[in-house]
Amino acid sequence: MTTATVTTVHRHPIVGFSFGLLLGLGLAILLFLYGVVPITAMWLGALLAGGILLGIALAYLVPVRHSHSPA
Amino acid sequence: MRYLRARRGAVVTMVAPVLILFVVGTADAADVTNSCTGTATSYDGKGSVVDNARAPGAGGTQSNPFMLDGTGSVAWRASTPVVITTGEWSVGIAGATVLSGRIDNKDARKTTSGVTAIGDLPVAARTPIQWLLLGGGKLPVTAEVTGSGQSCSGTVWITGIGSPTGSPLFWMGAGVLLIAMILLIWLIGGTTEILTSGVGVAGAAGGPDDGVGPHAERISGTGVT
Repeated sequence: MTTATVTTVHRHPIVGFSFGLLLGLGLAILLFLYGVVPITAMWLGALLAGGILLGIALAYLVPVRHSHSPA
Repeated sequence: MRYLRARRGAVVTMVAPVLILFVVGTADAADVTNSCTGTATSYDGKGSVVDNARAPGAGGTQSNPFMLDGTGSVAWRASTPVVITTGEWSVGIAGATVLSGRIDNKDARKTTSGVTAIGDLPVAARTPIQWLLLGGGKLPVTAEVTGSGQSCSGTVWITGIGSPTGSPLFWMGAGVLLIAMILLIWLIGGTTEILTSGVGVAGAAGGPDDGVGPHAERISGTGVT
């Protein structure tokens, strides 16, 4: 008989991408609306790209929550 | 009703060339070319003066944008050094072309003037202007006129008056951020480390990642016989 114990970490890069995209878009809208940054394609692209990179990075950097799955 | 639609179409046809002449005329130090000149005064919905701009002169730059009221109007006067009788014009907002058309200056005039109400502009131009200008949004409007004997191009920065919370974009932005926060909570809560023990499970863990579902990352494994 063979028993094994395996530790796996489930991460969610797609959720991180979506989070970053929406974060960048929401921030862009509000920053544009309040005049913090000028309304240009360059700023929109920079905020979206920054949000996406942040989201994907977070997906791999957030602390892991421990869980146990019995056999 | 049919009369109103026809009248609205006529207004739009007249307003479009007016807008570009206004834009070219007020581009100021921003980027106007070929000695095109102009002046503009903006009014709010009650008819009070909001701002003035002159090209060459003050106003219309990114640091000192021309203020507009989305419910108001602009009185403008613009001129070109030579007569443009036929040609084409276009207007872009933040890089996207929202208005374009042909020039037909049968009277061979160098100077033109008028009053343009923001509410008379086509929806493609009016809606983003009105939504973005509420609050302190700074919006670049670019314009180009190319015709017989002359061409002009320019960029003018405009901004608006009012409260950002009065703009639908404010609530759209807030809603998008709320959804983002929900995804963040999901992201943090869903990143789990699972300890699995049993017969034959070692081969199942750490399998190929299809890039769509959760990314399973094998950390360690121990076997007991």
